[in-house]
Amino acid sequence: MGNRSVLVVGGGISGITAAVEASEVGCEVFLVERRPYLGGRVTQLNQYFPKLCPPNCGLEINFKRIKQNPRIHCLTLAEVTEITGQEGDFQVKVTLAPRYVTDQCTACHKCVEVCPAERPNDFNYGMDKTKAIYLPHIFAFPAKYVIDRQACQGTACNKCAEVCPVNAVDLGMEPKTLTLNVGSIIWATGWDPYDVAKLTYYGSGKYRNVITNVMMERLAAPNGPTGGEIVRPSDGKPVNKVAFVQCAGSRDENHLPYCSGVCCLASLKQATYILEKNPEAQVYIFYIDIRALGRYEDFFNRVKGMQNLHLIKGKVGQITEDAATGNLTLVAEDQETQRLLNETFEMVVLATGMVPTTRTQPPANLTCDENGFVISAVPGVYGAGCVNKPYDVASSVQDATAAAMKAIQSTVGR
Amino acid sequence: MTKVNPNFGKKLKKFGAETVYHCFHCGNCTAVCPLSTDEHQFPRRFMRYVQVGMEDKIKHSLEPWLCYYCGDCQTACPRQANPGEVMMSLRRYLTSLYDWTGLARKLYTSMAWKVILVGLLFFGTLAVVYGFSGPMVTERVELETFAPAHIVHPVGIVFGTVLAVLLLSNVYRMYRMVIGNTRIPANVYLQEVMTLVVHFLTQIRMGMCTNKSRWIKHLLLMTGYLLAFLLVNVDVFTAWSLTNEPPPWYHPAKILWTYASIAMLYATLDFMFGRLRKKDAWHQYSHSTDWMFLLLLFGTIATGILVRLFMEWDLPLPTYHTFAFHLAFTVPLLGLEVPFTKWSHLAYRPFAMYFARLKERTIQLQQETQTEVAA
Amino acid sequence: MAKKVGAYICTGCGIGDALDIEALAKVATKEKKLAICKNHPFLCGSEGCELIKQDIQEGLDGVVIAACSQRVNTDVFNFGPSVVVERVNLREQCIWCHPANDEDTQMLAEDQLRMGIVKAQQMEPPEPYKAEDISRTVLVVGGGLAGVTAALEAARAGYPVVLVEKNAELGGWVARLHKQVSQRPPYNELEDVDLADRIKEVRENANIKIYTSAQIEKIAGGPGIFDVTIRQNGTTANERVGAVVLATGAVPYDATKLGHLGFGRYPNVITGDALEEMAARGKIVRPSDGREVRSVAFILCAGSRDPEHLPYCSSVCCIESLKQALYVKQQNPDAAVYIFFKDLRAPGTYEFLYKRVQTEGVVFFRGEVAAVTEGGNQTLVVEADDVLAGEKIVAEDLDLVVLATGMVPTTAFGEAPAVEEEKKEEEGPPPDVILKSDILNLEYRQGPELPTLRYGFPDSHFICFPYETRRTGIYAAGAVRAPMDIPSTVRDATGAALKAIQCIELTAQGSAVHPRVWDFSYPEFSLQRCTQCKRCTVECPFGAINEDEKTYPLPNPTRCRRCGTCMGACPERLISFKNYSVGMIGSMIKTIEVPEEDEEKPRIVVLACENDAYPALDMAGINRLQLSPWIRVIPLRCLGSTNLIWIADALSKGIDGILLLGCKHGDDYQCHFVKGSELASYRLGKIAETLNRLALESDRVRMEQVSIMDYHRIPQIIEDFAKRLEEVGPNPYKGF
Repeated sequence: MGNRSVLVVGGGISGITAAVEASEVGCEVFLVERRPYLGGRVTQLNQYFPKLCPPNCGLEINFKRIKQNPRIHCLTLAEVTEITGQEGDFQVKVTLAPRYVTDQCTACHKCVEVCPAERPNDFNYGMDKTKAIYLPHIFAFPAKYVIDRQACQGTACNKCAEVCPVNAVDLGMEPKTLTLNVGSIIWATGWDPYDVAKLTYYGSGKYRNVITNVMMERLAAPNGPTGGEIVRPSDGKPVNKVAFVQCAGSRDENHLPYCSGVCCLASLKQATYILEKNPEAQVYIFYIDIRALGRYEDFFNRVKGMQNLHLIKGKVGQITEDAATGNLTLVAEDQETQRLLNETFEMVVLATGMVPTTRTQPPANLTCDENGFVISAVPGVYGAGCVNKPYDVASSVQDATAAAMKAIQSTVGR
Repeated sequence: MTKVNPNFGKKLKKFGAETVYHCFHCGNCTAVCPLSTDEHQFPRRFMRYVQVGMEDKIKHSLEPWLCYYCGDCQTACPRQANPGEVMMSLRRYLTSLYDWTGLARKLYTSMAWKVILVGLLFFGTLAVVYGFSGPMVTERVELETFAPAHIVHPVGIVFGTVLAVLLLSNVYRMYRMVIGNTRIPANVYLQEVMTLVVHFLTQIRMGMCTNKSRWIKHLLLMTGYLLAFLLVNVDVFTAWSLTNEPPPWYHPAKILWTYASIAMLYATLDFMFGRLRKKDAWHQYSHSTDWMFLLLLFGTIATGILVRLFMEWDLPLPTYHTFAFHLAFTVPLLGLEVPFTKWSHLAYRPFAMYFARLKERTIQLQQETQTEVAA
Repeated sequence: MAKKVGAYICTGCGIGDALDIEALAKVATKEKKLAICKNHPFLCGSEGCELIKQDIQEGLDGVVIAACSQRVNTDVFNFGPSVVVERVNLREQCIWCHPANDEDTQMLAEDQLRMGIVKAQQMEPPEPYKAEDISRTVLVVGGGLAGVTAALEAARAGYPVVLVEKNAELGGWVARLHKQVSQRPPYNELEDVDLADRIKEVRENANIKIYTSAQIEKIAGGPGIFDVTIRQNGTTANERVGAVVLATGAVPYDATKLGHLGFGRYPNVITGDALEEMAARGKIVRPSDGREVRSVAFILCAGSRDPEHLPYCSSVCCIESLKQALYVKQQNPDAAVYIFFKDLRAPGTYEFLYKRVQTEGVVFFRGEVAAVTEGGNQTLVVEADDVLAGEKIVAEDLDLVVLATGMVPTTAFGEAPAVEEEKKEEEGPPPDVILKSDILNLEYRQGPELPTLRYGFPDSHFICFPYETRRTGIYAAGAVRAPMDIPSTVRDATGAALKAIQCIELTAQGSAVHPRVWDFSYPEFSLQRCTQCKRCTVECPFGAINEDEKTYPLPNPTRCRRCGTCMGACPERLISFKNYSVGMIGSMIKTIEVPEEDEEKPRIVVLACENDAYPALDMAGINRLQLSPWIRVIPLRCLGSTNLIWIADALSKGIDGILLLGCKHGDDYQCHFVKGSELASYRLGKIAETLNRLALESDRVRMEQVSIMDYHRIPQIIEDFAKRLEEVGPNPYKGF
């Protein structure tokens, strides 16, 4: 029997699933996450399609499985810096960035009350601010605070350290490196939304009321920057007419030549966010093909039947902003009615596609295609989730479960 | 109900529509096109007509002439289906349809015909020039002696007339195809004449494209050519500037010639380099006739300039021979391009605008009458 | 029962500042007579924990931690399997959502502590249920791509496998395919189906026992101890297995129902799978005269996305047709190929295939096919509305029309069992749909197969947990579960194999499987007083309980998911877990101090689902939302475990109202135990009548569906309920 432990890189839904599933079979698992909390991008979603249920519900169960399971070792603010060895016997160097808050932290919140510095809240895509010492979000696991040293005023201020009743603040914390010995590795570092700055014809991300689909999730979320009110970034007014622009980057050989697979359903879902709150609102979805595979067709039909939802077969050519009102005018060819549409909207949501993180940071042990998707691995190293393909959540979980199986096989019988 | 015709797409490939099947009809091209309107939607619609083989639709359409190939559609196309080039190929195709002689079709679709026709006219011209030319005076430049006006001018007039008849008869065929059975009130024809003139002289629609520099370059070439054309004709009838004695530098004709030469040379070279560099969307794909046109044009302009320079420098023999070659380039350029291929658009484009207006006005008038009747 | 219980009050995080700790401690020491009650300013710190550990060493077997929520510091306050730990939430659900140093807040804290102590006193450390002769073998039903893959993957992980295939050969549907789409760059090429290698490996693996031309006659038992009877060639074999992977795949939709598309009427209208066979044999020809085809039309969504036929999308037909279009083009590049589609669904890298097929000159038509008719010489004519051209088009002279028929899961066939008389009479949630598809033939009271969702798929309803079928230890994989392509099937089968071996490992330890992994408790039945009412057997969402001939329940603990629905269902309160019972929750309710009516301090018991509602209440605290001071929250494993006796207990005690906070139910249910919250709601419906009879207003009991994200709604929900109770007036039983 070789080394029965598995390293999972990435603590999003795929990584968590791979870690939990492997450990519940009996493996020792190290779960390495770059962010200060687990859950990855799904924590930033408001609801899942097609059930319109909150991601935190499933995450809560998964975190419970982790909390109760001594065989899973979670390392947050951690990145893999080097992998050597081979299947059954890998040596992995992991660098832990300082959290500046020790495990003693009880999440009592006193530090935040005294902290004078603020930072843009990356959890909400910069749409609001947190203090320099902060809990990434209310469901954060581990429920430990963290300090953003870029924003923090340091020991000169020291207020958080002084107020902390359990002396959990350590502004002098240094990065740490540790070496793990594992039998196999699962790479589940997930995806990033396509960079809207590259979408010049949609305003390059400069129009105030053109947001991305991931930002829309935060706007609709009860724990988002607006407490779940869907309002325009420019003036905070509720929106009555919203356009969803599908394939913003995807299915486009000038950007992402592949289909990101989930954006159609995500936009249909986000249309329900708007229409549930404001049935009078007008929602337009501009699309090429609605790709609602399998039983997602039911969801498509359900949303399609909603009043004031307009599905326009025709990709949006360009968006122009009216500087005075912040309104946006879209041009598209409505192929069903054979009209050239020129419509003005209060807010536009770009259904930006998925870019695997392995595109920007290709891991040494995996071969990726030109778009960054993992295509083959050295024995013992497996991709899981959106580094393999643009997956929705259920498929990511399936894929991660399968990856856990492969990882287990790498640890037995040698 | 339209019958699907898979052969049409194959046919159009020869006219340059090589990527039309790449299109998956997102409609992006139509949406980004600054010239596409609700009434005249393109290029996406036309990508479809080609794919399905809706020849009839295309035959009666003006839209291909309303596109000025700024290339925005091409840049934005997510499938690299080159809608702009497909529109271009439709213009080639329509040109071949309008042409009753069938030569246009041959020129567009057959390399052999291209080579033979150009060669025939080129060498034929040389043969005629050297066969019928006057003596070559070597003491000084006497171009008129070499190419006696009493031969050159009548030949030129006949040649020009033939071309004009061909082109105008093709325009008439175009008129029949696009107007069809629509009854257009006679006064509308007159009222809209200005449309024809304005578009002929300005190509103002091209100025509506996002990229304005192409329009400027096109205007340079167009004005240069028009000027050269006019000067030649003035000379034919008055011998105003083209005499054995080179006129002084301040002679107005000389100044105009200089403008025309530089404008045309600059524009032509720019187009040629553009097609070689393939950076601009509208230059990415070159049909063989595009090069045929540019090479003939370049030959014509270059030899034309050389003739004038040799005259200035008082080099008799080079002047005569270059002049012969100048004619050898000019004849196929005019003879093949104006009625049959690329240059025919100088007529088709303004006429397309004119016909479009005629149709619009007629519909307008009909509606007005209807409302009046209803009222 | 925990014999020696100690209470530990943390005064950190502001608890000490907001509450009278001394008074609180008195509840433990004076009222509940605990020998040990200590407080510490930082209980979760090493010093605090050490304090507790020392006492444990001195014989403490129950620990009440009055500090933060049970959601945090779970690992810190874990003192091993023999020590019962109960958490009293003084932080998130007390001082963070109620005013500090307030009489009502203090009363709340004291009640919470009382309940915690009572609960700890009644809890016992669970002893895991260990079945005898646990088998580590995985049974894979179906020898197609999914089955072969699952078998291989489980075997590679070191587990024995029994593979049962109905047909004489392994390979199933995929083996009949001519080519598959390459999953490597450039993603637009066709390659040979890679199934043969897998089959070879399966055949050569000594750990895999294969039964071909075989069927499952019967599966009895439960995870770890499934007893399987396999019928093969007239004989039967018995196997004991630990878990089951259901991989019987799907079949094409019956094309004879597609007469409107010409199938059955014209010889040259064929299905996609017929084309595969033809391509695999060699040439693609016209069935009518065997001439090679020069023009072919593919009609997508033939049956799919059609409310008259299959309302769902079959996921792969677009891709399969693109692939088949290439077959035709490769045979004859000049052939005219048309594809009629509704939406071209080529997700991910299939987009590259789509582009390739386009560049080969295939023409796509978007819109409904209006008619398929025959022209001269048995050529076909397809008429359709083409949205892209904006008009009706007609494609003539077609040699072949290929219908891309959708996928129907093998579980969608068979009769639904007759609804028993008794069920008809009783009010209850709609029973599970179990079709007698003759696949697993489970000896389960609830029916012989997996319950299906819509359209006959035994799909998981859970996005986060896609393997959760409703029969423990039986995992569906591949096209039987949802329409899926080849790579998804491989992935899915691999994942299902993992779930199977995981179930075996957990069962061997006596642990529950998802979602209560690491729960070693299980329901114990004391049948002496059983009235054979069958509530427990009927209501168990997982079919864990069979019945004997006399209709006494026969529990199968390895099938059990530990939700406690049976416990809630039992009117005689005969079912309990070591650490969770009707009596325990009842005692918690009874220990709540109910002030006299004139004090005007009503009491509301909140029974909260611990997966969603309880964390939501915590979130209210974290957000410092103020909650009504009258509530007393009791977390439940699942609202399905709600026993109506608790309502009676509470009301007879003078509690003014009972609020149940559970997960959403209905079509898009979020209950992790499938039916728990729904059942609770039905039970409440039943009690309303009884309450009215007792001159108690049924308004005193209310159930609300909340999700974990509804923390901002919860204060209002409670407030509204309190307001209604105020209208109803105080509970007349107060002070009795």
